[in-house]
Amino acid sequence: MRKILLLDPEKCVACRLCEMACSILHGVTVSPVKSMIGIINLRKAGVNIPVVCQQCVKPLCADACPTGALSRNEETGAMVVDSDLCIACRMCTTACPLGGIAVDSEAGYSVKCDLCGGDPLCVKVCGYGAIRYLPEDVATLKRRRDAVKKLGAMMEKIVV
Amino acid sequence: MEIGGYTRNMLKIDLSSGGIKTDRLSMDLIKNFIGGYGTCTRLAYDLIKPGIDPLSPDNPIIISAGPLVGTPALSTSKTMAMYKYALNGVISHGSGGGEFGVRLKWAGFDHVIITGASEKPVYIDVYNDGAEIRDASHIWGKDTFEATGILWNEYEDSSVLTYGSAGEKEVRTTTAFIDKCTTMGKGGLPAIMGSKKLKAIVTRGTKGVKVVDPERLIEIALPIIEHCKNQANYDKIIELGTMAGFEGWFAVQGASTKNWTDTLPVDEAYRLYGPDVYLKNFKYERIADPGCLAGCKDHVKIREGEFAGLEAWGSSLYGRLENFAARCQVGSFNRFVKCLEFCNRTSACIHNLTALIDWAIDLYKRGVITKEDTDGLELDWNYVTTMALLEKVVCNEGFGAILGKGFYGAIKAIGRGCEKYAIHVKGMEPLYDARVNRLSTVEFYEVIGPRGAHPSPGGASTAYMTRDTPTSVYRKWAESWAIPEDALKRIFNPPSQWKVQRLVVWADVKSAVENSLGIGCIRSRAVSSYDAAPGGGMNAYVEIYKAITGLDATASGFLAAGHRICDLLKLLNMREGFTRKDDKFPDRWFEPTKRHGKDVWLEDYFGNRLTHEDCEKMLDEYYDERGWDIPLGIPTRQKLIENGLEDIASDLEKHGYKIP
Repeated sequence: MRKILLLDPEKCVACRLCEMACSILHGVTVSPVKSMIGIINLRKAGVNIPVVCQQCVKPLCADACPTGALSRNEETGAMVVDSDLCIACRMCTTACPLGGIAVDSEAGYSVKCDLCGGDPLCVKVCGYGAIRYLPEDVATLKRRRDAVKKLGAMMEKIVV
Repeated sequence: MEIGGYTRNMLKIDLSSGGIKTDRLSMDLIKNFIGGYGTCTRLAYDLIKPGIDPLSPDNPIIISAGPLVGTPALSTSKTMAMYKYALNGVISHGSGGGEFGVRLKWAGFDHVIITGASEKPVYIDVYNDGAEIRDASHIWGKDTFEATGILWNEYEDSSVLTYGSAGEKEVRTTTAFIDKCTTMGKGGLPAIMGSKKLKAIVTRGTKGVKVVDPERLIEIALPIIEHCKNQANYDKIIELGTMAGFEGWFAVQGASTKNWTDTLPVDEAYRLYGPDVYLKNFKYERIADPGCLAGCKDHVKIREGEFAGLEAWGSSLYGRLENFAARCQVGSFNRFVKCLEFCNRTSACIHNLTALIDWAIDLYKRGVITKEDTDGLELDWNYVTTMALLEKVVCNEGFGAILGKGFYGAIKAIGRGCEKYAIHVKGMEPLYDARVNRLSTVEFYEVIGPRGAHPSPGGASTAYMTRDTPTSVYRKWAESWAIPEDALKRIFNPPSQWKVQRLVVWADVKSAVENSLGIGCIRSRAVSSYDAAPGGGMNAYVEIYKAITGLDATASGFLAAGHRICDLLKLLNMREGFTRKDDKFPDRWFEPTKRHGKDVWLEDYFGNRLTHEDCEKMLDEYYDERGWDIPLGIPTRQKLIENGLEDIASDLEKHGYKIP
């Protein structure tokens, strides 16, 4: 069973450890633009949303790519960039609905989450349980269970 | 040589001329003073001329983020600002976490040095390798929340340091805020910024910070992260934030009330302010500093009851709560949140003002002051008095203008023997009462700390401990800080006990290193985990530093730098006239307080009653551990030479200062 990243904005506190760790694992500079994962902090609402490639089953980035630089790693399920083929035309960045892929002009090609080859660092550094790496079926059931818990809390309020 | 961690850029902004330039940080400064707190202190020696008026253009603001700030080394967001305090005239620092320093580093700077004063309201926008001084007329007059919100809208992905009306009116008992939540600027940074017509500093950037050996950094960090996550009470720490420490403060120790003569009853504390109350009606959002696994900051919102819908932010929420609940007896969590919000918006310093209000009420009750002094207000320990006085302070009018000067200024203005009832050290209120927790490291630090009665030299804790913690725990900590064997022998003497007056020196040195590197407090529980983690403690700092910067480092080298920094900060304050006479235990600590209706006297950590004389002897030993002159309480020439500060000793002597 393929594993996916399960993101939980309610648990995210925007400590950015994942962002900073990811950015040095894929280079030597800590910078929010060098990270494959980004924490979008909607400060006025008090909500933090982790944004990272969801490794779509029907990836628009690959459809948009004119050189065929994006392909799936069958072992991890991650969409990966072939840096030799990529021409940094930014078509993938336009096509992606999530902002999950970006061009690194210094490197000269597109960069995106590759699930660290099947052992994602963001998951290991997160202390808050906001990013989990789970088999797809487990993740689906967990999402349902979490949703029901939220519903339960809501019902309690309605009854009271 | 290209190194990591440091950007080596210093941004120098002169508000008088509008001049902006960038200088390089010398490798000598890095080698001797690490960065952050250390380099700030060294720069302050040259930039803060002795005897200046803190609210004049002569007072510089020296901001620094250490080499680890802006990297995924754990909990490394600690940023320093050094200046002469408006509150009490010491030279020291305000420290803060949040994203301010991280984004400063990502913009390409280690330091920002602000001098002079502007004629019109301005703010500074720091962005990738440069900065602009911009017109602030649209945010001048706005409170902290409003000004922050406006600047957030103008600059997404930024961090904002600003303040409210009390700063614009140059009230000395104020503190500034990073992104609404994190306090930075003990001793009246808003007043100093206000005197410069500098309303805010925005940091943003994408240049980033280089890490020389990323794989090694991750290799060191992962086991520490695992250790932290696997603590038995980790979920509780995250759920409750600092409120996880409620029991320790309110029940195990005791929250001082009625101007340090009594403690708040425990059952009342739980009923009105306990963790259950907090979770049920107030907790809204948990906020963490960058890279921090023990996220403890709070965004609270009142769900039901008085002031429903009101929002406030707080770092160390339980501390703010203790101040309003015990010192001012505001009477409910709702009213506490209202006071918190008021102080957030106006920048009134909660630590300073709750102590000053507590004292003023005591003076009123004793008849030292009357309605004639208080603009007709009747003072009592309650919400109405507290809000009325806070409002007067932030408007800088009437009796509020007197309290807003801080203890030194207010004692002078009131006179009539009011000093007898003022519990302060160097014009600053203690946070902890040594009688309820016994004389532990933090309480001793309150007496000897150069900036006044603050329990630590920055966010990084000196060594928080509740009473009856076994000596073995201290021993383990001390060893993890790489304290040399001869000092361990002096501290743990006899081996079953420890001497607070000696351990505090090393706790201060360790904190100086942490504050210089940029390591935040990671709260006591998680700190102990950091120190206890495999390879944790000072050696972890060394390995992390090496991986990030590519420079060589040793634990003994860090500790030597720590001693150098502490000595230099003391000398900066010696230049302002602070010596042993100012390291003074508050007189009230030698009278009993009450706990559960019974008298509690000052005791050492092992339960032995302490007299004034005993405490003076402890001070002797403290200076001895420092290698300082015992009668004067300042570094000796010999010690300065040993610590690599001979140039400073000579410079001081050249200017007529006597170095023993």
